[in-house]
Amino acid sequence: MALSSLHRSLRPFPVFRLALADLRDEWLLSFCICLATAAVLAPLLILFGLKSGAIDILRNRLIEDPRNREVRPKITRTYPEAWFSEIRKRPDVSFVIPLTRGVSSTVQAVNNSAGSEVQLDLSPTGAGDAIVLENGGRIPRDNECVLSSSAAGGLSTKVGDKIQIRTSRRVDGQFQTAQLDLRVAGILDLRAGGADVAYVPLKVLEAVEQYLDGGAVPEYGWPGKKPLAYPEHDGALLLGPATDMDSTLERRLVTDTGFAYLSTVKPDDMVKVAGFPPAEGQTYWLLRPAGAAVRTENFEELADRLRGTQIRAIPWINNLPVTLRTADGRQFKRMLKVSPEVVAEVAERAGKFNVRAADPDLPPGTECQLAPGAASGELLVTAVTSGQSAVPGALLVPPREAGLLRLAATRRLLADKETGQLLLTRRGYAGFRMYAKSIDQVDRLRAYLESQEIPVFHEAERINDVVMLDRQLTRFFWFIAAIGIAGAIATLAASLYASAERKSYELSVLRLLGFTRFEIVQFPAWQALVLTALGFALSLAVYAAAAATLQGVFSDQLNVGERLMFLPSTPVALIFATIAALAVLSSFLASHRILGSDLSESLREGTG
Amino acid sequence: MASVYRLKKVAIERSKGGASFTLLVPEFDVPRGSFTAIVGQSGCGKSTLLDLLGLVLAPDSAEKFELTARDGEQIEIFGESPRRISQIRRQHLGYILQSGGLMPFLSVAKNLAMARMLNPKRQIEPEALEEMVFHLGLEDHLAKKPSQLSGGQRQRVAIARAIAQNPDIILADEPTGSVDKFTAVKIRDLLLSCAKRANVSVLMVTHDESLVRDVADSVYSFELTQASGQLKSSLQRIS
Repeated sequence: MALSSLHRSLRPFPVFRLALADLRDEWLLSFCICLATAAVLAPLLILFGLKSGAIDILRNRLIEDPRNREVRPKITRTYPEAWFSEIRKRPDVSFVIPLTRGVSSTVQAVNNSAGSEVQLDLSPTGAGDAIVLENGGRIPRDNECVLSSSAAGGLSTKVGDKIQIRTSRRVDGQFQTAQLDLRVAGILDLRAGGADVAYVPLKVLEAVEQYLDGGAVPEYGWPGKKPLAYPEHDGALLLGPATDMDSTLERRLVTDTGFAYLSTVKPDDMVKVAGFPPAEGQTYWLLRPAGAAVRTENFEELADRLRGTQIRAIPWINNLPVTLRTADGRQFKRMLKVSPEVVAEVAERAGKFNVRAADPDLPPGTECQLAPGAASGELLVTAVTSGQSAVPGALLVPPREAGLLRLAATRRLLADKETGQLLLTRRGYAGFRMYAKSIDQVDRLRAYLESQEIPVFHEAERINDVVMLDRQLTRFFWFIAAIGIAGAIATLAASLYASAERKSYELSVLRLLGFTRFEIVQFPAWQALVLTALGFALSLAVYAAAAATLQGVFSDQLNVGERLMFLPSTPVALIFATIAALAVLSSFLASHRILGSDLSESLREGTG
Repeated sequence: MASVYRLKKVAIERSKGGASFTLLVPEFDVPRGSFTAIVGQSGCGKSTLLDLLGLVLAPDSAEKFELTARDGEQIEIFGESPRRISQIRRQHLGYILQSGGLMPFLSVAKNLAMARMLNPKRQIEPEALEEMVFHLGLEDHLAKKPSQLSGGQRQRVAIARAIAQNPDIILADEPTGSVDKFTAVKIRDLLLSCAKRANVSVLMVTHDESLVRDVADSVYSFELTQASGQLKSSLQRIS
């Protein structure tokens, strides 16, 4: 039999193999030590796993929930379309959509087939809206809506059904209702929120707001007033005999009329100011407002003040650059001015403006398109030339039309398709709904908006709450862990010290046989390490069983991929290293005592 | 004849419980291949001498304390470092303790393997080890742990382990102390026959002079004197 091969079973690391053989020989005692260690460590690991898992789930759910990336203004003010165009370009903005006034966002919704009715909040949506796209919906097209889970439940409706939204107003004492049919294109998950909300294209809210303001919405067949544009002027040109103007009249002209400054226009300045030369015997004055513009009601007050005099007031505008385009594609830039002679004519030609142009290329009767530019962009107004202007490069226009074109230069107007009349468009929006690209960018966006004097609400602080909670729980855990680890150490240290003491005779024999002090010290140290590792492994096995069980029990409350418990490797490694180090240290203390004892005494003690 | 041990004017003083004991070795010589016995009553200094020779205790003074290895290497023990002492024990000395001194967690075979592993430069030949196992009647007990053996069987394993280490000298401390007379004689004879086969010297400490008187090459004992409350023991050869 191969005795000679046996020594190979003790190499390499012979001391380690001897230590292991001793543990195997006393397997029951070794198992008990492992069990005692696991009894202390397993609950600790389970606690830590629960803490890590719960915090991880909380954090991920917060990060993933688009509501935590949302930024909403705290104040109501007018946000023009241009502001939205600029903000959309920001790299930290993933989505922004205007909001109309709050009154226009509440409607009655009816499911006629189910006979159910609820009050809904309308919320505008568009491409890239995370609250819809990340909660099981899609962006609704025209005549579609996406409902919140609660709204769908209240209406007893499903995807594909039709619902009807209704809004009402009171006009001239009469109660009027408008309705719109929408197809349900999607129903959102519960996570999107518990309120009764319908996500619709922005134009639906704009239509409701316009209807409530008394306006018509031709696209939906809702009747109402057209938002006709009104003339605005920069002042009034007064002309008349100088003798009719005295200090009393001067005072009256600037008191409660909306006008504030009266100045005499020198004859040499007439062309520049008015666009035409002065007439013989006439004196000219310029009356200007304190504010930006004057309107019809201001001229009515003015006419009242001038009654009894021969002074006439003509609405006046500052030089307004416009562009004329003829049918054959020629383009002319002109300066628009008011013509008093046109005032006298007041010709109306079926909605077309009456203009005078001093230009050999624009003989009377030439029809062209006039673009006021600026705020109204591509608005083109049909104009017909008549007569000749006395001033080259000046385009003379009747006062009302001049006022309308001045308004078009400062505010966006549209031309009515049927009548050609100029219509007002909205100045802006009352608010916005915005999402940052990620939860980390919410704060940057907040800072930018606040620098624009737009304080905002945001939920990103919730992630800070989770961070704070994590810190507190971590502190609690390490406090409990310290106690647990101390218990595990005490268990191991006592067992290992006692074990080393029991082995003092064997260790003395090994010393006698020629094992070095270093090798003797290794014997209990390896045992400490192995028992700690086995105890820890047993703890991890218990933890794994607990984790699997709890994961199964709470599976219906967890999303796919979420783990109720998990152990981050670094702290667990730290716990193991601490316990192992202290266990080995306790074994060193025992072997130090043994090595310090009298070898001959130790050998004799073992003889019994 | 060459000697394994050569001691001259070696002294050691030990104190215990307030009492002081001095062992003097004026001259001591263990020839190679011999069987030397140390006899005496309890407390005469047998164990102290064995501890000195086993390098468990260091003498307080020594004119000569020399160990000569089989290959002729002469090692002066006195003043050596603890690390060197461990090495000398490992390579040149074998031990048989009264209780055997076996590792209880190793089988008989692994106890022998461990001993063989201790002296890698001078490992006993596997065939010689196997022959000794058969000679000692241990072939059926190799897989057993020491706790499964009788006292006599354990001592036979202890003999095998000491031989397996292939030392220059085996130091046996009362190897028959815990067995009956009949078994003691058997063990004595087995020890001597194995040592002879392996060309290993034997030094046995025993309180039973009759066990060794007729077979030992030399027998030593102690002369005890008491002066000023101090007990002195001086080694002397008696045969």
